[in-house]
Amino acid sequence: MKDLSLHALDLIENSIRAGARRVGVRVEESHVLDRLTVEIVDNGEGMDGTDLARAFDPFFTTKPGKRTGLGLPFLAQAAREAGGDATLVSVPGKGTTLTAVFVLSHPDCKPLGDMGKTIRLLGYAHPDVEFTYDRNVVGEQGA
Amino acid sequence: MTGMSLGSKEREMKLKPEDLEIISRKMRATTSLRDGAGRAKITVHLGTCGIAAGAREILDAFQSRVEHINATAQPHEAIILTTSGCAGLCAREPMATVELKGQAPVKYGDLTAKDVERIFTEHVLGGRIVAELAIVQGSERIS
Repeated sequence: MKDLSLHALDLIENSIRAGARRVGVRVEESHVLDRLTVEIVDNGEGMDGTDLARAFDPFFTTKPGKRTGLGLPFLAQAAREAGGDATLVSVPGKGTTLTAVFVLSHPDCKPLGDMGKTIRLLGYAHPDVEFTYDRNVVGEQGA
Repeated sequence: MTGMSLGSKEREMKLKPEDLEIISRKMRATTSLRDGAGRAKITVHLGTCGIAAGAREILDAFQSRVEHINATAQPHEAIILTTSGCAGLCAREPMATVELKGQAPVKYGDLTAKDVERIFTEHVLGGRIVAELAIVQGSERIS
């Protein structure tokens, strides 16, 4: 994926397939902490401990049918290559929170891309799902 | 032949086939042509493979055209635009499926934004399949 908004698109699709009716995307770009945080929160079916432990394993998927199971591993790889990491918190029946953190100044930190466009397109294609998007920039770039 | 029985905890956690059917029916109700809403349905496949190959731009290209038509269409004439996961033919992504009411769905692959214009005009609006871009015509269970 050439930018993080495409990773987000992939993982929000997971949320929708998991039955989420609310998906919140939060991006924080902190030039003070030199950190980019991308968080996706959903109220889908969630995962139990067994699935959660394997969620970042390549080709692991809980969904039937044609699934590759690479979305989360790709995001985790992108975060680690940029000096960060990705974590999942999930409660069965309540939802899942995915958080990916990147070192902002790292040369391998992917650009954010057009997150707004991604959310807008998903909102149009899924009118029964409520999407929110918050972007926060802390500190000045280069300061 | 010896059968296997699940322990009670495993039985609690496993979804039965009838549970999956209920979930699937609920999903289809929001995007099904048979329920009376719409005269055509376009599904852009947003698996990891599709997104990496450019499926978001395909979705964007369809969305602007669908929005233009739906702005003045009656509900039964509207076009449904939605997304799904991987279509199972990763080497031919980005892919989209076009289904006109009463007809078998057609899968298109290796799409570009230019192809979207042609498919929308000739197939979605004109009812003529674009054979050069089509991979297969036929129904399958989509969940």
